[in-house]
Amino acid sequence: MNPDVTRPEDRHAEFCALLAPERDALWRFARRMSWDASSAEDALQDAILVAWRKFDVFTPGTSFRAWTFRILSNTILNANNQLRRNLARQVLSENLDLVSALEKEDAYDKVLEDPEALLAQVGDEVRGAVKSLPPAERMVFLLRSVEGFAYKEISAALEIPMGTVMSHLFRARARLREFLAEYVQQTGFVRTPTS
Amino acid sequence: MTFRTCSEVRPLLMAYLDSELDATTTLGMSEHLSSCAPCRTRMEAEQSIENGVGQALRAERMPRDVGQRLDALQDSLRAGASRPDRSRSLLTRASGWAAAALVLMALGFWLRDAGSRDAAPASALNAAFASAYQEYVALPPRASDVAPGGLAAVLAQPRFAGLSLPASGFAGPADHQHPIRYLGARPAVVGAVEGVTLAYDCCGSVTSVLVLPASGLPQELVSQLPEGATLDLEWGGLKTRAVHRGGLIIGVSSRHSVVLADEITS
Repeated sequence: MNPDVTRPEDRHAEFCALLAPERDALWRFARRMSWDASSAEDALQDAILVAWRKFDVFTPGTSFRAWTFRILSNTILNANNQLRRNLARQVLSENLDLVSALEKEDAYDKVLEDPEALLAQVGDEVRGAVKSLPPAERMVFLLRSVEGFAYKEISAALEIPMGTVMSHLFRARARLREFLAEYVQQTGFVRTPTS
Repeated sequence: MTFRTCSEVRPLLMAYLDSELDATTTLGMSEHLSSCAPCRTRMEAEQSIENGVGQALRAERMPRDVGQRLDALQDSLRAGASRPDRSRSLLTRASGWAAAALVLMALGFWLRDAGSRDAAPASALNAAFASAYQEYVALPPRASDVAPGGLAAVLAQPRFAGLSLPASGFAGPADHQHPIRYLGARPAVVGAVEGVTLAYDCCGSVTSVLVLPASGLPQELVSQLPEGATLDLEWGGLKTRAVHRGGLIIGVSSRHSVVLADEITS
């Protein structure tokens, strides 16, 4: 907190101003990690209360976004020991390409030919594929690929080693690319020629 | 670092795009990519996928009603409330194990006559649920309660005859997002009514589902609810939207079951 801001109303205004641009992102994250909208709202409100109580120790000049996501992640994990255990579980980091199964390589080549067109066609099914990721992988994927956090920030927020962050992220990305390859296999996606 | 082959480069493409490689590896990657069109094309395509998926998910905005409640919460912070009153925080004020363990809960029961098209009075059903819930949450958890035969054994009991509940999962709330896997079951007694709690793995946590036979609840109300009808329920301070689906009335509120997770999966 800015030490120059001493009046409670100013302190509150500063908190709300910092929070305002993050609310949608925090909601998205809570929603994707929760059973339903109600539990997502619970987690978000709990996290905001914690953030407000700890606002005195927030260091000015550091990332308020990373700080609030860390609190929200902890809120979700505190209510969910199994997810915490799954998240911390060390999995071997595969030294493989994202999609290496032979039967999917051809389909994945088609994915890579025109990914924008494919994603436009797939539409909401991509969201469904993200929802179906194992929770630990989903959590890391959302923080990196949707919210743009660095591996180091994710490691700090979730209190897991960098290697574990990377392995969860690798697996999440591999699953999503397999989903796209399967979509191409099943639908026979054909590139739309561009003029 | 020098990368001689594309097979050395491909596994590192995403970390390269994430700017997460060390300086030496980044330099080696940049050199390879500048001279290798196939790898460059591959990298651009992977980036398009990453951007496309990210954009699709970033498009989601907070619903207006959630935003309004958040505004109210923030206003209450300004007012100096140490613990602002929130409709969705009531479970956290519950006592004992219920606060920690019973956090996502559904109430279901049989409908003997679902032919009528008139909605059941929510207030009377609420009272029945509220009474049942208050007694249920007072029960201590017991690891030995886990039913040895799983769901099939539980549902084979005469008191659950006719209960239509899929063994692979149950129909959660309409907007539930994640795969559901059945874990186990244990008996439950709510007042004078014998029921069962079922545990499902969802969102990486365990969801408790309390199923009570309709005989313990007002039949004249239950029988009025048509298939697919929804009603707003409140019990134990929890508000939820319930739906009649497949012979069950299912109302889901939030929270995860830490104690049950340990009991059932360990």
